[in-house]
Amino acid sequence: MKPLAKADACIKCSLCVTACPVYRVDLEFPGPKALGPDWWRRYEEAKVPAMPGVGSCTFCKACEAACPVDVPVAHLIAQHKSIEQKPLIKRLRDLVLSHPERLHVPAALIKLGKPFAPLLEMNPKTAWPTPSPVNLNKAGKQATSADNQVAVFVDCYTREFDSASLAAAIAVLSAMGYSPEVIGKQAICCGAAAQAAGRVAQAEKMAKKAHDVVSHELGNVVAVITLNATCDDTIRSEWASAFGLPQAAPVVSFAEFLDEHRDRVPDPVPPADSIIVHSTCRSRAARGDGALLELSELMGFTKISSLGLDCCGAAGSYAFKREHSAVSNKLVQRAGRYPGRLLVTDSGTCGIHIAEQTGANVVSPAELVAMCIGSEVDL
Amino acid sequence: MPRLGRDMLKSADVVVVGKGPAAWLAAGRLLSSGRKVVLVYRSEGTYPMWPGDLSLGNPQKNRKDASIDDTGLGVNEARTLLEEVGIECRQASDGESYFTLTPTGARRPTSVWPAWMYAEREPQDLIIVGMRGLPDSMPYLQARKLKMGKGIEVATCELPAPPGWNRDWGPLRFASFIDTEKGMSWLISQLSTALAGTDPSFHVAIPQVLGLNNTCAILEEIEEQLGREVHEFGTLSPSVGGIRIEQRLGNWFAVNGGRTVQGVVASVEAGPLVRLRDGRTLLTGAVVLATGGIAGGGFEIHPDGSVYDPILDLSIGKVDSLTDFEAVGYRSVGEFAESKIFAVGRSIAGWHPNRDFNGGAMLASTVEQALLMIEETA
Repeated sequence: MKPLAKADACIKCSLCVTACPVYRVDLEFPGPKALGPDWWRRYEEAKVPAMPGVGSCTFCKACEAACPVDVPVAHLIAQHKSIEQKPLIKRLRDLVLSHPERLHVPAALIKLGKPFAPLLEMNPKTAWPTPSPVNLNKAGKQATSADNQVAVFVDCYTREFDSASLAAAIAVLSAMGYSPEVIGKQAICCGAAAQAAGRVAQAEKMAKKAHDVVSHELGNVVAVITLNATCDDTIRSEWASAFGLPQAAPVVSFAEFLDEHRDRVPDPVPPADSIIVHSTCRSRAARGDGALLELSELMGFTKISSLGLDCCGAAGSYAFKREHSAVSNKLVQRAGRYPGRLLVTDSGTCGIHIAEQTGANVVSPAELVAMCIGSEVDL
Repeated sequence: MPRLGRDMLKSADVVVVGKGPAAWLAAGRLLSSGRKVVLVYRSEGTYPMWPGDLSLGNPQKNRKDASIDDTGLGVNEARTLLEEVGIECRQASDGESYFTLTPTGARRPTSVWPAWMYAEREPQDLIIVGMRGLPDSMPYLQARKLKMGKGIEVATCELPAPPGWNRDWGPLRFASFIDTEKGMSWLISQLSTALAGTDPSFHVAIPQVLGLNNTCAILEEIEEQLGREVHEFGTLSPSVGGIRIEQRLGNWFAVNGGRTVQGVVASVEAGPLVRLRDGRTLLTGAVVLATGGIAGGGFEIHPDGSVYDPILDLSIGKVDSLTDFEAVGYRSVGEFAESKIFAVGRSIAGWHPNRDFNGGAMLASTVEQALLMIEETA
């Protein structure tokens, strides 16, 4: 096990338990305190086996954000997951899903249809993404000068399934007078998926590789803009705090970037008065709430409401795993149904899950802005 | 080259530092009055350890050393905010004393309490419901202490442990279970068995576990099915009442334009400028420090007992024993008013809610004073 700072600092206040979304809906789930710091102390003492239920943690990091003494609760649970005994088929499945940079493999499987899903311990009852790979040769332009050049980080989900959001981001940034360059054309992964699944050593290896590639590709840019909150948090904070990798350039989410450069955003015309916002758990745990609310205001929406969820239960590939079907549905169903309503969220997999379970018309922040300022999108 | 994402400048009328009850009260009231508010927090505050009423303490004893009588300040305004976020409240009129019931059977003075909470003016006949498997549920001891010398009758009953229960269940897990349809019907059928044949004129008090999201619906359903009102008394931590309130306050704050930023405040400088440890900077008109002082971790206590405030880079004093806690803190809400920095809640010396049971009065009063001063300096 990798030694973690403050692993043994727990003061047993249980605030992490009160912050945990899974603890609220899964009455069998032992909760972050038992699975994290309590387990760690026993493991250090006597190498106890994994506790039942540890795999149900979504790695939303709400526990860590709540902890008053900075115990790395979620990271301890990730280490706990790594000693869980699993049947071979689940181990293989987890290996595949923890390598989203090779998502073209599952993307090809998706085309085969869902009947095979249970055989691979996948959840056949949840909505799956539709492959929509990015044509990376067409994406991005050459910079015209250094002070208007920004980099857009293409995460694995966007690369395989969400060319529309990348196209929208590039169109919007161009309309703002920036010269967006795409980084991550090579299939790399920031390590988020492996880390959440408890494959900690693998996550570190992937992060280091991605860090090398990004540092190499990065020119003299104003900022690196991310399109997915989980990758954003991973690159922005996990790379430094968990893997000791320095940031080569400031990393900022698409919504925050627009907020900071609102003077360059063309006048928006919102398609409706009202919009629902869901800030994903990882973006809130990393930076706090408000960027998407701010973006919705900036786009001219007058009735802005929040889905009011801490974690929607999608959690990357979590909802696609068969054993998490019930918990991931319960997590999102707390929000209620919003058929046909416009909803913006900052993660692709969360978007699919929320769209399926609430009936809302879910868009990414980049798609929302492109829609409101009428940017031409082609990719 | 600008270092975006690191040196982000975002303007706010007021930055509130902290995430406990005092911080939320200040942030909520400021937002409600039309201010642009950013709440900066390092970690979860103490709301989940607080049953949710504004405890009053004994007004004669509160803050003996205070130069002004500030108990009772801001209580009406705190209630208005709670109601605005959707929490129906009850309030004692002037000159009246109301008391909540503690899990050990003590009566504690209160000024404003959510409608779900049990509060009484005079000691009255009561049925205390216990729950098997709920930590610290001790209805018999509670009843014995409550009726002692008061000439009232206190009956008790105990519900069995819920289906699926195991020894790890705390109040939050009980509440999550009772929030489900299955949990609510279990509760109602058990309650109706337990209360069968009891005197309907007796009030009924039950541990504060009647759901997180559906509490009002659960209470209405109980009233409809059982024909009698049931109220809750606070449990030991974690406290479901505080979690309910924080959940509603947080949602209301976000959708009404309040912003929250997670980060560690490194310093507050002239301007005022709030600098976070990761380099982000917030430019603001005023700062409210609701960092909890010693008790909330906003102050550092060094091994030699010296107390240091890392945000304002100040030595605050020295503690030799636990009894010094009340004396260590900022001297007044407006000690740094010239720098447009105001301190509220447990950061202020002189208040000792653990001894005086007046945490609610403390936060209502200190927040009220801070808001008046912000108004004056604006």
